[in-house]
Amino acid sequence: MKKIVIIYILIVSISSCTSDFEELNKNPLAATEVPTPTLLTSATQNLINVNSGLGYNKTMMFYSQQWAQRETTTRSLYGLSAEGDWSAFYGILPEVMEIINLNSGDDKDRYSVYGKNENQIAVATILKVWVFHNLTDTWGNIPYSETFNNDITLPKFDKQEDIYPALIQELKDAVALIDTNASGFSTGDLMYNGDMAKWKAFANSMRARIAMRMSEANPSLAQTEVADALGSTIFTSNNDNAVVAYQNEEANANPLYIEFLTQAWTFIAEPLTELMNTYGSGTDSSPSDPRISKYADPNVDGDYIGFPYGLDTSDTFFYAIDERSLPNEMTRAIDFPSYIMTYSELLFIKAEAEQRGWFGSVADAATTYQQAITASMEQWGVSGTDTNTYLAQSDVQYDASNWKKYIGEQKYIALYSQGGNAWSEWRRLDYPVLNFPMAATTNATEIPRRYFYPNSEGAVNGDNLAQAIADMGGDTFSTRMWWDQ
Amino acid sequence: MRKKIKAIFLIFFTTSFALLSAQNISVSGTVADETGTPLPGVTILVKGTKKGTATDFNGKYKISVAEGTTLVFSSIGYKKQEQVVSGEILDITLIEDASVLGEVMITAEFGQKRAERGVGAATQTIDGATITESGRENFITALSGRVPGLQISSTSGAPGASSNVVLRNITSISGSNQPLYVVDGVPMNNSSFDPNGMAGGATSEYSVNNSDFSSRGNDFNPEDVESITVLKGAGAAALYGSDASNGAIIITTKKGKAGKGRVTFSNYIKLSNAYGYPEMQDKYANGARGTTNYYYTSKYGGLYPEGQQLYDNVDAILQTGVQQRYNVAVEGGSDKATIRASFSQLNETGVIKTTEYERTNLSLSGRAQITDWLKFEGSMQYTGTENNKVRRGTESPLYRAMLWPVVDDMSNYLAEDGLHMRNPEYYHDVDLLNPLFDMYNNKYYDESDRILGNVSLNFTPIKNAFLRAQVGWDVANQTYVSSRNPYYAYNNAGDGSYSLVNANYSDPSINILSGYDNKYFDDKLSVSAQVGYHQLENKITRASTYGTNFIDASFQSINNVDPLTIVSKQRNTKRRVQGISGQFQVGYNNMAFLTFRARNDWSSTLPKENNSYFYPSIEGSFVLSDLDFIKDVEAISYLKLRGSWSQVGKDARPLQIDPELQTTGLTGGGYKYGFTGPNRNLKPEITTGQEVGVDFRLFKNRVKGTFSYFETENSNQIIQGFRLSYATGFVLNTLNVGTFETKGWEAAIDVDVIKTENVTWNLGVNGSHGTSEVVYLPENVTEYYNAYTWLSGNIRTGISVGNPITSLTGRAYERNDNGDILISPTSGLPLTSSEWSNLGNREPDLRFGITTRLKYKNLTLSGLFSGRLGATVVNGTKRYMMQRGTSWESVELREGPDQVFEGVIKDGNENTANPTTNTISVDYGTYGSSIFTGGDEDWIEKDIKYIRLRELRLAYRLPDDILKKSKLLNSMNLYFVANDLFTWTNYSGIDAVGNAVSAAAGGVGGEGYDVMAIPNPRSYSIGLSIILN
Repeated sequence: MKKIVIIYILIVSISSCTSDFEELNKNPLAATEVPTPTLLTSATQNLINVNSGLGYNKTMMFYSQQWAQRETTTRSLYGLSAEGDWSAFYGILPEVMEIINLNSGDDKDRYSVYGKNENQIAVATILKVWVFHNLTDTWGNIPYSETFNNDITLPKFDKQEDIYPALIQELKDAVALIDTNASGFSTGDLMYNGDMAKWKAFANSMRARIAMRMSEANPSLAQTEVADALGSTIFTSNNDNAVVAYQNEEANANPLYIEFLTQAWTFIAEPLTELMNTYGSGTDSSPSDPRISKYADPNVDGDYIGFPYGLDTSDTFFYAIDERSLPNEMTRAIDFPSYIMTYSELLFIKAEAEQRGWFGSVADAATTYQQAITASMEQWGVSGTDTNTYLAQSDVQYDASNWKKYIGEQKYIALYSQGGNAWSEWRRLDYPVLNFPMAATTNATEIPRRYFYPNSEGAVNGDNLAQAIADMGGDTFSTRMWWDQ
Repeated sequence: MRKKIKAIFLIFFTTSFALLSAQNISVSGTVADETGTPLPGVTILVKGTKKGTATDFNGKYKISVAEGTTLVFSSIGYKKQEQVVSGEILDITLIEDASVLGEVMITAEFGQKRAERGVGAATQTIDGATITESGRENFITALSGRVPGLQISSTSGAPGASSNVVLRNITSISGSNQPLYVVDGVPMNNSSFDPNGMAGGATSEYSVNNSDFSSRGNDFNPEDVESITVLKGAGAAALYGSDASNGAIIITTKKGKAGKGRVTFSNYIKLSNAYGYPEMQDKYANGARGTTNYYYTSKYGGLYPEGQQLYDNVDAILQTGVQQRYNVAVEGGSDKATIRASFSQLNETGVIKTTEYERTNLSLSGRAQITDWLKFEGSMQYTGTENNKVRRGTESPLYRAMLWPVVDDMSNYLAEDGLHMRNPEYYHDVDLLNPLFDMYNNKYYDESDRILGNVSLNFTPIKNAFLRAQVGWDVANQTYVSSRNPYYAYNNAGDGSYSLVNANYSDPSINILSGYDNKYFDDKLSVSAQVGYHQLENKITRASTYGTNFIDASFQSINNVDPLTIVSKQRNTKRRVQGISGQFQVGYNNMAFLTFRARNDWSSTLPKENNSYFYPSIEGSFVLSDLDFIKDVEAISYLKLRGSWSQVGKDARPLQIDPELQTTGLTGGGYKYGFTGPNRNLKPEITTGQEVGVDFRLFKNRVKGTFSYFETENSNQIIQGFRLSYATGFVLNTLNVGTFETKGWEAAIDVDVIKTENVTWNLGVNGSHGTSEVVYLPENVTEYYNAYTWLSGNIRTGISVGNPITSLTGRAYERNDNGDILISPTSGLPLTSSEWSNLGNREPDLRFGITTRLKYKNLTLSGLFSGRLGATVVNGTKRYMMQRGTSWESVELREGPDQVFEGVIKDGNENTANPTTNTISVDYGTYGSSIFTGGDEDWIEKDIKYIRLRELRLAYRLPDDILKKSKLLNSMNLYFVANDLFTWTNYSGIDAVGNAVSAAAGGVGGEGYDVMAIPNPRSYSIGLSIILN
């Protein structure tokens, strides 16, 4: 009997817990599934820190010669530092993709309390397109279709000519998903606070931007898509701008504010002040463009004089700090926002589409051009009177026979603070005329037309990278984008 | 009243009955072998009964029996002997039985005994006395040099240092390579705390290079060890599954001996001194280009002025280390039940000032035969430790002491106010840190309380069958503290920081085994079968707190930091493995055996689809010496051939599948991903091993030997922190990548060279050799390296296809097609390649150990040597000293003629028929060695031969005739041990067997990197052990 009891006890003790192994392997103290608004917040913050930060954006503010460096001028002379930018862009995506996953997975009902699933997916898709568009415009061929796939550790590089149509399609799909009658993100949407109509306008406006950028490479598709986008719900005022404010606290502060806490080495570049000051009869002390007083601080004499672009570090010391213009104090404020896309840019796209005969009538181009400048003035808080004075100047008045110069220069000025975008439009339209700095490092022989790939990618995804370089015909600053041949 | 009388009568009756039976006489004596050596553990039974006793350590026994009774004396390996009791003294000499000696049992998995004859894999048993006599405070270091294929590298000579243990070869690139430790069938946690990931843990002071916390295996009291069995390779320990894929070290604890109760007392005192640390030049002062200037830390200045007082600042951090251990054990019991209790206290101060290690061990164990069919065993060990330590590497006192200018007395470390750190005289720059200030004013310690216990029931329901159930639990609570005084900073201007970590682990395990064995066909055919169920859980909870900005600079406490700076983190992990195992053995005529073993595990650390994995093994053995035609060969006492093939799966670490989200300090409170991505396809690692071997005993067992050859393939290696393209969304991932192979051999031979009545001399030699080759890495990976091995220049452990996994890579010199070093046409210095290439292999060609024991009557002199041949060592210390001009070699270079580097100028002609031979001389006279301190190649020392006298021991045992006079004293031993007395080597650095990386790092480890470590000190101990009856 005793023996049987013992056997019984043993059997009972064996038949314990084969239960939930999966639960055991989850960290009870770390979140693995979180409310989607927290992911959106995080992704948006990462996005604006690239869009307005001291890494990629600052480099592009140099490349587009809107800013100039004093003291250490390595970056403005095209020294190498691609590593962080590549990872910063891709680093925005995990949270964005997770929003899409959570809202399309088996548990999606759980997440619908934060907004209609489809609306959440649409928002995430729009941000995703923004990231990939910037990536491809910076590097050319990039991993796109094979990213975020658990089974693929060595993603291939897609060609830019394939990425463009795919991004346009993604935006169209996103717009199709948007239900403006249903709720968007209930919280955490720093850009539009859940207003899906505005997201829709942003998606279409961005589609116009992307389509227009391939104006030279694939004009027929560009025409179709620009026209279609402009005919849809788009930005109708500066209230629709894709813009995210920084907060009045150091953890979420405007990066330029943080930089200026410790150093004042970033100046407005001379090519920008020259361009803006000298339309018509303007001078440095009486600049023609009223926006200069919004972009730049006056120097000790009250003039707006940018810092010469592209000097050797040692040569920068010949220029006294107080004789040159720093970025305007307002733009260095702790809560100055990050502009992702503005109404003004959309109007420039519209003007160009009209000029090209892709949309509306060619005759309207001049008016739209003026509206675009006006929108920019308004965005920067310039009074109507000053705007009209400016528009009346001969050099500002639109000349359809030389439209690339007019649209190019004005768009360039209006895109101030969006370095990457300004650089891309300069590459596409080749206006304004910028000079290659003589002191440039040997990495570049002209103003960069793209960014070289980061070394780390070669170490971890070498074969695919080699293929991409072969496809693009090189990995230099002069290698051209598909849309910039 | 009547009842009372009845009771008294009854008592009287029973007592007189007891007295009547006590008419027995008390017989005592000594059982010895043919050489007169007393034999412990000989069973003495009254013939035809189960009554009996056993001999003690000194071969003595005492039994009370009636005159004329026949006693049967038996012991494994000796012929059974029967004697009729005819007086009070009965001394017995047992004759060795060569054929029976084959019946050696080994302790296999779960404390089960297996006949050695039937085992197809390599095993080795070390008895507890060897461990206690080694003079080492922990059993792991005591094993070093005694077991071929067992590699033990201490990470420093400091008290409580961790040790990295590898059986055979490294089997995992980034995971743990340590074997499984098992105490009485229960796995013992031997982890070393890895402070990474703790709050404030990102700084270098917490890295595995600069910090080292004890291996928890150090907790075990060596005095409690009855024996240690080493199961080498995955095959030997296949039934333990995942955790034993690197082999297992099986510890059997003392459970008490039957017979008259006794008390064992032992004590030793040990003095240690640091030696072998590098000598610094005291000729040239700090400065540059021959001009003295104390603003420089490098010593290229002028000669010290006549009469200048110089201080030995390295000596200022050193002291004589003192170690003492007391151990008291009480044991006793009957043939039905035994019990043992012990208490042990170890106090140690290290050779570096302020280092201390204290350990208290309490243990209780016993066994009882409850009924004929039910047996109980249990043991419980409590360990309390406290360990004050110093940092290592570039944070180490040695490193900092060598930076201090010798014109200043570093030992005077406090400024006049008694609070601030004093800056050195002559030197008004403020970036030198005084290591003594660090040692006396900063906290750096760990504490642990631990209990390891198990109970088991062995149940024999029917003949030849058993059912055994065991529950074990290993629990511990540990505290780790690291703090920094605000004045321990450049310019005395730090903030002060305090880091506190509390870690608990709890590892319960259950093993249930059931088996049946029997013999058939006139005992020709033996069959045994066994099935088991196993469950193991590892639960770790860690909470850490970190704060800075001390409010009161001199008070070190977490309660003294600015509350706003406090950061806390908590991390809990849990792993559960469940398994079933089976074993089936058939034997023919006790001569040939074939064993099938298999296990299936379910692990919680793998994705659901892959979390069940099965692995089989097969082994065979054949005792050739039982064949008729060999039986007659006098010289061969025993000869066994064996072989095995096995597979073992290994799971991942916990929490590797899903990425974790972290909070960000962003607007709206966002969540973001960390750097490590998900891997929902993770598969178990698979180790496939095969081995063949031979065990033999010759000339009536005077020569014993063993040889094994093994091959292992490790595939699906789980590598953590594998770098990925950013385009995958994550920087790092845990992946199944990499396959590599190892092969090698182990051999040991043990010879009784002299064996006479008074003199015996035994000599043992063991050796092992292993090579490895990486056969697969993902295509895009040309070199995978563990960043923590990047310790000296650009040298690191780089893993690449076609090379051993212990390869050193670095940036070699540029060479032309002819192999000549290319020289820069402008500087005359050799040019360094920008690519990493293979520079050497850390794994030596041969690891060996030599044991010797000379015994003359009661005096025993024994020694243990261990060594390596053909190793490659990175001499980071020497490189560092050359850079700073602090070594005598740098002085030689400076005082010698200008150097012209041998090679050809890189002028475009280097690959033509007439390259330009270099004639540019380099001015060492002016610039000192700082002008060129050599490339990576120059600091790799190849073909290092190394032998260390690890242990020299002289012991005296009080002769029997004296002991006999004492009723109380059963035995008394006096001994003297010297540890790490001498080293003979062609290596020019500090420590050719150093290990610069804490055992916590896992992976390929840091053996072979000599970077500012404190070598094992030389120590002398004197000890006494007494057994009282």
